[in-house]
Amino acid sequence: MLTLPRAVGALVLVKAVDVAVRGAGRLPGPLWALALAGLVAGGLALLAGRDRPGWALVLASGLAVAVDAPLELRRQHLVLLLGVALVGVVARDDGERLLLLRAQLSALYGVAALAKLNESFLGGDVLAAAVVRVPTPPLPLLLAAGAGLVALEVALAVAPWRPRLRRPGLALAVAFHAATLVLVSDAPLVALRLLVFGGLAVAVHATSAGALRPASAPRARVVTG
Amino acid sequence: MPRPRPVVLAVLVAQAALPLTMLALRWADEGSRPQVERPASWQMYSQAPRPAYTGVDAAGRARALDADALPLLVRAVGTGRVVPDRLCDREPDLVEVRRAGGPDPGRFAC
Repeated sequence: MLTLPRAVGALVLVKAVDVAVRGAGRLPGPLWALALAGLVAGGLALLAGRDRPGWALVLASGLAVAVDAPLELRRQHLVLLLGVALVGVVARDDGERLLLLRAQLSALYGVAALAKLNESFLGGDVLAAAVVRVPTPPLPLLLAAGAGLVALEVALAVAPWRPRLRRPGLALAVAFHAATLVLVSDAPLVALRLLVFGGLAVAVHATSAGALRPASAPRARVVTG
Repeated sequence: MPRPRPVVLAVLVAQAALPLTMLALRWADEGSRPQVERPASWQMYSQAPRPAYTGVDAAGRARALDADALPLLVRAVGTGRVVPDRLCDREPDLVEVRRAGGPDPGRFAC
């Protein structure tokens, strides 16, 4: 069965491509290279099933990436990556992991819905500017889509806490993030970041719904003597 | 359900408190028409630049128009003729309203 650490490990390697393409910012070159190497090592450790060092490396190197380019903290995919890595570092068992991951989903979608309760979003301007892959839809459709998206995000915030809603919530999250990736991305790096964000969100939903294991299986100990 | 350990409780509080604080700060600074996305805030795709409106009268004189005086929500619709039509109604000497910035700039005859 696929695990959350493996899914996140693959996405961390995608994020490492973004950091490598962007290049060094505030940090001196060697420190930036160390942060990038830490990100790659963390991603590989998660893929290899070494959860503890993997989460710790991703958290530390992700923070270094944010220090290197403060703009990164406005890129919500890195914030979500840091949040998931923090859960990996802090949680001791699956109960704590699931509690913190579900709370992360509720905070993400709940606050995102609250943030959209403003005139610019509900008036359609945000969607008209963001949806670049299709011609601007007519105003009634923009207004309906705005209200519908707020309702969808509220549903995604609530779904992790209701067992019967977890699977439908996962399906909704897959459709929502796939549609966002298709409709909003206008450049390769934007698509890559949306892929990391959507991939992380879907992986956490899948873990909450039981489709992914929250942690790698413990390694068998070799007993000698 | 057992009581969460203090470190788990601290993460739970931070997960909610940080973005909610950022949201409260944005509302305090920018009100209901935000133009800035704060860091670590989950405010993605929730802000837009404000268009600017200019009116032109029959003599060709241009003057800035204040769309904020229009009703709530209506004033924030930056696409189509919703705002230009209301500005034309409010100021009958205008022959044209121009919109700059926002998702749908253009000229609108009154």
